[in-house]
Amino acid sequence: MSQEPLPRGDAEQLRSAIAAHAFCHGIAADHIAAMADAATSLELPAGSFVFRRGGPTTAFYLVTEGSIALEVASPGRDPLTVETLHAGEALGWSWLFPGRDWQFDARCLDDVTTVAIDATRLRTLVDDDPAFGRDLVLRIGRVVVDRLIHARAQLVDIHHHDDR
Amino acid sequence: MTIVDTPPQRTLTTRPYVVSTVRQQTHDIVTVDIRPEREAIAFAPGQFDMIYVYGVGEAALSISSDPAAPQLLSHTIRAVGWVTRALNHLQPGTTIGVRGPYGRPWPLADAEGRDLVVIAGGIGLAPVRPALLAALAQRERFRRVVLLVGARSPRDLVFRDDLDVWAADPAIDVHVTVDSAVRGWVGRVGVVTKLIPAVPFDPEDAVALVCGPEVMMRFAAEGLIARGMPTDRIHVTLERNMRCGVGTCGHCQLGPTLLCRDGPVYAWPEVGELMSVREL
Repeated sequence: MSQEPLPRGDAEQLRSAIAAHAFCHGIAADHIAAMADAATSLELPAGSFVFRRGGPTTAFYLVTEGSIALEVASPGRDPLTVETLHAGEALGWSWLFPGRDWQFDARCLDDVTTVAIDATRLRTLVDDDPAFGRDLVLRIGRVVVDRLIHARAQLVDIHHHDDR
Repeated sequence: MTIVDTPPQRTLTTRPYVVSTVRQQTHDIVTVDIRPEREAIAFAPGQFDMIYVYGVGEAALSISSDPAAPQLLSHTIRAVGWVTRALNHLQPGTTIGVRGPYGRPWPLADAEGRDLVVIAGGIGLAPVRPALLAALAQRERFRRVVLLVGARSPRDLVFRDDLDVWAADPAIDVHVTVDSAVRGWVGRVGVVTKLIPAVPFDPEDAVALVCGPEVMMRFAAEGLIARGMPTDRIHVTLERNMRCGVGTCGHCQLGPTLLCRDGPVYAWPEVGELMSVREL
């Protein structure tokens, strides 16, 4: 089960954590502040889940400490890890689209700290401020493109592609 | 034992070596350690030998052992053809033939005073291992030494003992990732090129040695260039159907270059475009 968010941290700490995160480099201070207003600091122990497949996409996560495995699980079998995400990376983009569910399990490989930004409030920010919305969607787009390139590289088995 | 420092680069003469040990690296990869019956021949990191299994044939194989100890020579082999299959089943005490070392080595001296970034995919760790051992033996000559290793799965990782030792050594920054994993693996999952933007090194003052399947090397070079590394500081090693080892037979031709004679190590501007030409 996903863990309950911890009580809201200090607003200034949240602003600092968001501003310092690689995903947010260059975002205007007022937009950082707006994101912080919608954010919660989330600390999760090793082995717990940030979210599980099929769950509602209630938040966008910025990983600030620790490592998270994106897993596909099926009954009676060990889960298959398709990718791991680490401090400095963003987790999840399904939240952009209301009504979508998470497609993978996100399991903490060690103690993890993230900034969880409420998805509904973040979508409202995107809708209310087109410039911020464009910036955020482009940043998400870059993450998606990078992950697509990496997924294609995995698909063609680049580490084992020919025999040396 | 006598060590010959100036190897006869273009000789076709085979010298007898005796198999010392055969070490299983993965389910389909072994490292064969051999000792010379006569004098040992010095080699430079990145060079290769022609290995002759008597009665079977010859294969070109990169040297994977420590250049400071040429009296114990290692080659790391995946069984893909007649010769490599025979090598995988050698028993200690068997005599095989070796000629070499051949080829242009890694330009380790160019990395002195700079960050050294080594990127290896799969069995590609074998040809860069001598460069890593040489760099660690003269660690003070380099700034950061970074090793990025990728493999299909945890069971496809080679030189795991080395990786464990290096991971605990502050002299080298080691990052290992696999394409996919099941429970029990607590490391990174993802392609090795994903590590390039995240790992600390100074791209403008670093030298990269990249070894793995050609597709992986292309992805890695593109990642290094995107991070800001000058293209002429990126070096790759190519291996294709080398038969003679001395630039005579032409089997290892890639466009205008013969890999055994001009390579196998190349700076990226020398071969980057060639590696994308479908017709070659």
